[in-house]
Amino acid sequence: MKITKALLLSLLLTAIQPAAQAAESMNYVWNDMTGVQPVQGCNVSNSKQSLPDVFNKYIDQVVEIIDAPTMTHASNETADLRGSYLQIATKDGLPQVMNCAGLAQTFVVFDVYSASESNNFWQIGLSAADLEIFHHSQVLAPEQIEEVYHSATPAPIQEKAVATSTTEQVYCLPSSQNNVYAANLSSVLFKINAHEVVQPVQSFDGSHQKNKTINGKPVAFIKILVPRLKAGQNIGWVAKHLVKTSSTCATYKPTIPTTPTPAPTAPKWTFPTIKRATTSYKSGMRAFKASRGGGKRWHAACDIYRVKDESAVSVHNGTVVRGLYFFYEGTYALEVRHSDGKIARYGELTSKVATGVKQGAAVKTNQVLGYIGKVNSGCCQPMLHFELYSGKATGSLTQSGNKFSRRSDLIDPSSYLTDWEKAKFGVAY
Amino acid sequence: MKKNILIGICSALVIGAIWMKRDAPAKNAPVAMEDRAPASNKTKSKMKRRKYTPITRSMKPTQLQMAGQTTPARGLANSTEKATLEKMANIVQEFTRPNANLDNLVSILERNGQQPQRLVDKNPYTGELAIIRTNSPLPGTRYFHAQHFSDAGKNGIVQHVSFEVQSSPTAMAESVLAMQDTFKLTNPVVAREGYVKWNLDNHKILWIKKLTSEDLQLNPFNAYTQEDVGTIRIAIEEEIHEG
Repeated sequence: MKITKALLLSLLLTAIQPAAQAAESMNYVWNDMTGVQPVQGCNVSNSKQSLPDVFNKYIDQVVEIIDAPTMTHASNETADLRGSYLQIATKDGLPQVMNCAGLAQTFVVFDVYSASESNNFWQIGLSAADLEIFHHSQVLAPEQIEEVYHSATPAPIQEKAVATSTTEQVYCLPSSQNNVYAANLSSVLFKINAHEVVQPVQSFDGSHQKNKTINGKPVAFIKILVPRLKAGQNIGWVAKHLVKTSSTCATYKPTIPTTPTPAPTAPKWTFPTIKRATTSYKSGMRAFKASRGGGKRWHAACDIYRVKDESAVSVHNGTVVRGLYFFYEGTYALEVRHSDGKIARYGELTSKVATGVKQGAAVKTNQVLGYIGKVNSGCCQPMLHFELYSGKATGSLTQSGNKFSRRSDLIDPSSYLTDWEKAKFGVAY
Repeated sequence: MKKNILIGICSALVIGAIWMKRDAPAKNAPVAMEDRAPASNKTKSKMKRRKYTPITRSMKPTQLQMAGQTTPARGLANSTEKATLEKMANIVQEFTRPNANLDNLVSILERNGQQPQRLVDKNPYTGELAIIRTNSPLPGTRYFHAQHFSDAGKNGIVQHVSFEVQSSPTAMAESVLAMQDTFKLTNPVVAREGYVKWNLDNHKILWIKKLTSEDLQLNPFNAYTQEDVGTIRIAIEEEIHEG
């Protein structure tokens, strides 16, 4: 089950320590999934402008804490960050910062992936005064952590354009200030931008649609939610005919995130999680070709058990050819075509969209693609379900006609993962 | 006389044993992960042990309550809800039939007045994904969503189909019963408070979940507010894992 940022942050607010600091003089806040007592007076917002400059270098980076003093919380619990990975928490692609009444400093919210325990994801707020924690740390930029994976030089591939998502719905007007109305369809609640992404709201009783007569003609209105805006202030009414899919909105010009052209070195590949799997992905039910359905079906992936909400990263440079879609028991998947032509399906992710990852976007090796999810049934640990295809076939990855229920160019990713694991972590299952 | 009493006692014991066995979890009933996997002491102390109670077609009201469901009231007020659920159960069943034709599936929704919309996402590398959503859901339901992967020369695969049922004290139980009746389901592979899952034929699963606050976050397709906690989602998907 996905614990999202919003929920975590609401929990986070319960763990703020605005009062006297511990002996280490670190102004920090912390929280784990169990939650503690609420403290008033702090607000979390997502803003790049509010981010103290000293934290800029940590944006979109994963930092491994090699050594750091043990921090003591007001409740006398301790936090040992040694061996943990920290990443600035984001919402809508913007870093999350927190300000507390009575405290001058701004806290930056970090996601913490604990190394000492499995399944322990939490958050911490650090101010500029807390940079001591990074004195013995390592920023895991892709260039620094990945080892070169020497694969055979791929045959040149003719690139074809990948459209942006055709299922995304936008407010189809080029005007920069568009009105979103209250339920009376007269008062303006708030403004939205040109081609803002919106989600039509459906009610159970049909009350999400209503008509208003304008200039003698009935105009249908629908209720929408604007994901960019703050919850509670992001729902209103707009004319139905102005909400279209991005592919049918004539004035919509997609902005596709791009990444810098990689250095002209050998193709680099890396393991798709930021730490080693907690259990072998080559044995038991996690293995490729493991039996399913009493032997009627085979497992089409390697399941890499890790920590919920931890980053899943791209194994190689490539392009996102299909953004998040419903995959399995409350988890999602996306598809990336890597630059040698191989295609990977990254499955069982949470619904949280990683910065810069959308359909048509270029991604680079080790870039965060999404976050590891957990299926509803709780059958298994949180995992990345990793499928790999040679790219020699065409069509959907899910197909009938074989025991994998997958496209004919499905390949066993085990040996690739082993190589990438050795290169990244020095050891492999 | 003594012999008759003895026979009576034995008969009662046998009947009792049969009755208890009927209500007992199936042999292959799931075991909570916590019961299987060792955990560190610190982790253990944080865990809440969950009880898995299979729901069966023969379940009595008290058993439904034990499984976290509320007994459905069969009054007039629920007759519309029940009829809608039956209709939606039949529709999603059509979506799960082998070799179901996408055009035919869309026309089923049209005939029901649900105004389906077909959104096609296509690229040269991973083919075509058609997403079917409805603009005019049946009262008491919403967010119908089907994902259909094309398969050259064949009818393709409906990899996911789901819809939501309005929260009510009886919604979970009504949903369970409607799906059990339509799909002739017996023992689920998972049944715990707010979540039930069955294996279907054709490598598919059916699950019903009472949505929590966590489930509502950042959904790429459906819009939610916190007031939607408790909404029931019913989904059928291609199986990935067992149990």
